Amino acid sequence: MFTLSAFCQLMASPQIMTGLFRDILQRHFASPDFIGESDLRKLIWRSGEQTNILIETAYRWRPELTQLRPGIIIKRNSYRNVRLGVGDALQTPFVDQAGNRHFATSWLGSHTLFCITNSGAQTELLCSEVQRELTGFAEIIRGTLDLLRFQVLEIGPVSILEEAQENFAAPVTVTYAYVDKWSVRPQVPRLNNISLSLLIE
Amino acid sequence: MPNIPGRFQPAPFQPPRSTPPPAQPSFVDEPQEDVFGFAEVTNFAQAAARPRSRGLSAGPAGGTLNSEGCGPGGNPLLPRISLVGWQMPPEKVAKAMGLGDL
Repeated sequence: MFTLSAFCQLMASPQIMTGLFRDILQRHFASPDFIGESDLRKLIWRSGEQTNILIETAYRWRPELTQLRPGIIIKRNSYRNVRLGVGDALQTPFVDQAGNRHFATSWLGSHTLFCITNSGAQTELLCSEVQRELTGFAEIIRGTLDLLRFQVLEIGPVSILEEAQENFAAPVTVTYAYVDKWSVRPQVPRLNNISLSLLIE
Repeated sequence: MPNIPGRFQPAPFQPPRSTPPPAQPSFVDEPQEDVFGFAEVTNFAQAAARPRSRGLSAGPAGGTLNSEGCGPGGNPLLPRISLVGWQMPPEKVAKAMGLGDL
């Protein structure tokens, strides 16, 4: 069963982060009022095939869709674990009065947003628009998801897309870090003391 | 005019010296791949219809001719990027964020 606290523990998981980028960008391009670059205001995202810009995850992408319209393809990169302590144990407190053991470890992750159009100049504009949107709301996103860091790391060069060579693409990479915490509750109450007199007798 | 024997006699006929054959256009006796720069081209008519400049139309190393003159695919000034092969190394992410020593 999905409880609210269980959902909060998954806030920075790969699936949630992928959905976050997809949702933010779809909402941003849903209205020309939100788009800062005037040359991109005709790229209105709509649900369905009639959209002017494709915003989708890599595993739902089809090359023929991007050949027809500009697109932003979201792809998750590798996550890396960085240990905070020996055995992922929190130093203070390691075991509380109820006998619960507390652990924590940190994760570094990144997503790359491929901005794809059939024009080099439009690719530059699109990747700049994506970068400005995510940089502008970086601190809001970081605080809402309780992340350690959230930043747009780099905008790659405009390149030719190997999979569809009539298109230009530029990668925008966003990185983030978060701490994953959990507790292990013992199945039986913690042993308070041992009666030595009972053993001697 | 008096005909003086020994003078004004036409020289005995000599066969013409062997002369080298006239120079042929360079694209005839050279291998076609040397002329046009495309090892893949074997049809002369197809090759003659193509521009004879080297370099820019050759595409990337090991590339094919299908990208020439159609879209940015033949542009040698731009790098290639592949969604399939793309990967951001986690070490680079950690170093850039200053969290590698955690």
